[in-house]
Amino acid sequence: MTLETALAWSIGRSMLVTTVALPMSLVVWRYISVCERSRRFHRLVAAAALTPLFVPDLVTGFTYRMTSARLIHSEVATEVLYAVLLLFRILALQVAVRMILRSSSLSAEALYSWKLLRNGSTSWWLSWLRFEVQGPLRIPLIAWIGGALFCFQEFETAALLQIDRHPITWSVWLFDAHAAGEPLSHSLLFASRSMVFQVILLLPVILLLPSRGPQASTDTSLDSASRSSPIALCILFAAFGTLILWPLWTNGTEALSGIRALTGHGNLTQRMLLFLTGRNDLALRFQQILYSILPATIASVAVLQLAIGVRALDRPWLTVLAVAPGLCGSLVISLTLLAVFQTPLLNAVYDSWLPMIAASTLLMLPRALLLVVLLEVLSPSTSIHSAGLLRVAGGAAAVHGRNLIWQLDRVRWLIATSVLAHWCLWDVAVASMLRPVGFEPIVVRLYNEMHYGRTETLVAMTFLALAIPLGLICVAAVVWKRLPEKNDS
Amino acid sequence: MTDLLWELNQVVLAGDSCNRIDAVSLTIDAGVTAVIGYSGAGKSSLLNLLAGMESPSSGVISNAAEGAHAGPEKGFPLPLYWVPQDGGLWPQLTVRRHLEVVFAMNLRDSIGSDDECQEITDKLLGQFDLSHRQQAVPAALSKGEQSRLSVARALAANPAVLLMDEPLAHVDSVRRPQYWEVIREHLKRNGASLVFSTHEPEVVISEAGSVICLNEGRVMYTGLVTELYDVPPDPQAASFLGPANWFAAGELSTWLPEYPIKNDDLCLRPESVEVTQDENGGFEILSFRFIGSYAETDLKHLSSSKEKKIIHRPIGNVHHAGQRVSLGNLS
Repeated sequence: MTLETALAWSIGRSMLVTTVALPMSLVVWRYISVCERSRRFHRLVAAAALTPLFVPDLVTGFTYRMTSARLIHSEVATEVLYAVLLLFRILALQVAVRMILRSSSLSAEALYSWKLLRNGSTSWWLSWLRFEVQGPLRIPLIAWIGGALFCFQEFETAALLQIDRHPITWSVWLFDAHAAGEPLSHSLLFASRSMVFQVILLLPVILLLPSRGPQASTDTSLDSASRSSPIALCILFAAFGTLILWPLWTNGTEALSGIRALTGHGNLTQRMLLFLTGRNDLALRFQQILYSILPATIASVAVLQLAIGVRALDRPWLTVLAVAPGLCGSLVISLTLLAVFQTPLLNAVYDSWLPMIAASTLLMLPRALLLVVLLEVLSPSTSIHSAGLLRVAGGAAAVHGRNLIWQLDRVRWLIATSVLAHWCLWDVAVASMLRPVGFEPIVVRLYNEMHYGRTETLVAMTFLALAIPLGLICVAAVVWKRLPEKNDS
Repeated sequence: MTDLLWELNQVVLAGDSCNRIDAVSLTIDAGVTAVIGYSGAGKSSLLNLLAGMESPSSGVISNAAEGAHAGPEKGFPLPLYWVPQDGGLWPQLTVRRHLEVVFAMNLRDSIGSDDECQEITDKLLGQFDLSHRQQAVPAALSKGEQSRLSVARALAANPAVLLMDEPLAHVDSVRRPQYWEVIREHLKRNGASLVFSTHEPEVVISEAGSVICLNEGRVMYTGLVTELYDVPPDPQAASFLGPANWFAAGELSTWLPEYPIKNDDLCLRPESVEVTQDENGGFEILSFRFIGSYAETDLKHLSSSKEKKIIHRPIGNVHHAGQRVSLGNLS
């Protein structure tokens, strides 16, 4: 099979799946918006809609690898399986985009002001089209393009589902070719062909990038949401069930048995002793996961600071420059940085964490910018300052002020950092291509082992790679909450 | 040409939890009409319906303005244009372009040369103090500047009917009257009509001929401004046009004994009430508060010990607690 064939398959799939996902995401988003009346239920529904974004592609691929193996004789069935998995992931992505960029800078009133001037001339129609694209169509377009890019770049799930030929994707084709010893220059040349499609998609995104302009009124067409609530709930349940519940159900019990196996033999005390002295497999995996978390955390902190800086400078060209590499996907970034760090100038740091951290930072920058926009919306600086003023009062007001700042500011930044670190940790392409020679990130080990079958210890390792970072986030939250603030005496 | 602009018949605009406009029936004539009411009363909803931005859930809106007033031959290229509450500005266009595109779409043919268009644009920019900001985009403008631009654009559109939702709301009170003067001049010069919403009684009194008072989506009052000011139907309607003293028919003999006895309640605006120092007066001042153009005085009727807050124009000496005064009706 040629790269061109694989590209054709990927482009066709991404266009189809993203187009199907778009109206579904609208139904779900409208339902979530209406649910704002009941705060607890709204949070639950929103969490259910967005959780698929945090399930690593590798885990999804691993869960459904056996299903794909059973479908080996039907290429169509394998393609449908992969498309459905992508669909639910893209659905979550598009709902997130709609939630973050919920209003456009062109209000419905501004658009209507233009409609009132209608005189049938070509210039009126051209301007109207431009207003539509910058107004009501802006968010659906960004959601569609984001979905198409994600779908086109997806690699891990496709790699694990591909038992024979299908699903056919350019990303797996290129990764396999590179892993099989294709010279880097050839791989880059192949990657550049995929870039043609990505650049076509990226150009409108650049034109539609969110600005700091005045936010218009939110969507007023939510009245029909209650009517479509059964459909929205069905979609949500299908997505949540496919990407969360089923993987938990199928992997849960095996993970527990696997952890028992990793701890070695003997009673609980003996196993604990072995773990603490680093003499059982669990201790070794624990160590490996911790080492993997470190560069991911460094990258996430760096990318968040970079995103804050880019947002603060508010220069459209700088924003474009910042997000463009990340939107090209991890495979393209990894191959490019591989070449960059092999140049004489940077060769000295080639065998270090720097290439990996740099790639993760570039890859995460678009997502970090979206998170910064989200945090600006959720925690306006005026709200944080208002809470800060309470601290000066002392006594109960100061305690309330500190708690408010924790809720409004610190905990949200912690979550944003954790989410970015999680995405960095689970990116196979960056980790496998740019890791230092003596370091094997947990995701690379998992990716390699997942191709060779399904064992309890492998499931346990996957579970630990998900659970340990979560535990560390909880510890970080407790520690950070207790830390004195700058203004505290 | 008919004087009727709109006729609304049992119009309902549904909202999330209650109707935003609830069974409203009214007519709006040519001229200047103010829509007034508390926040959430339905002012913007009514204007959105009139503008066609939203459609009624039920009921009928007849737009008599559309055919009767508009058309280039009548001097109006557009039947209607508006100033929405958020300004409705176009984010990518500069201040100057906002006015230029409106001219380009509608007025260039009737005005003539480009120079004339530029001249009118410059004049409007100057009248609304936007000349120095003409190359700025809306995001770079202050709220006040955005309000002014939205009004300037509407005037540039030169419609038969202007709809303005709280125009100049963010503009400083010092310069607001001069911008209203520009609007007033425009209406007079072109014979256009204006329907606008506002919270400010002074603007209604000074600018409007008719008024529609809304409360919770329902019409509380519709009629002439002068009538609402002088003989409001009830205390709430009276309050829409500023402070008023409301005397129930039964208490008139206590507070205004010289007023001819009638069965109706009486509303007296501050300028119609006189509180004068009088050693033999039947009232005692409990407290006095000066609020710029009028004063609030808590009075006690000495014979009956009844108390009442009187709003009046302070004349002469500043009053103080314990002073004996008399109460007079100047109307």
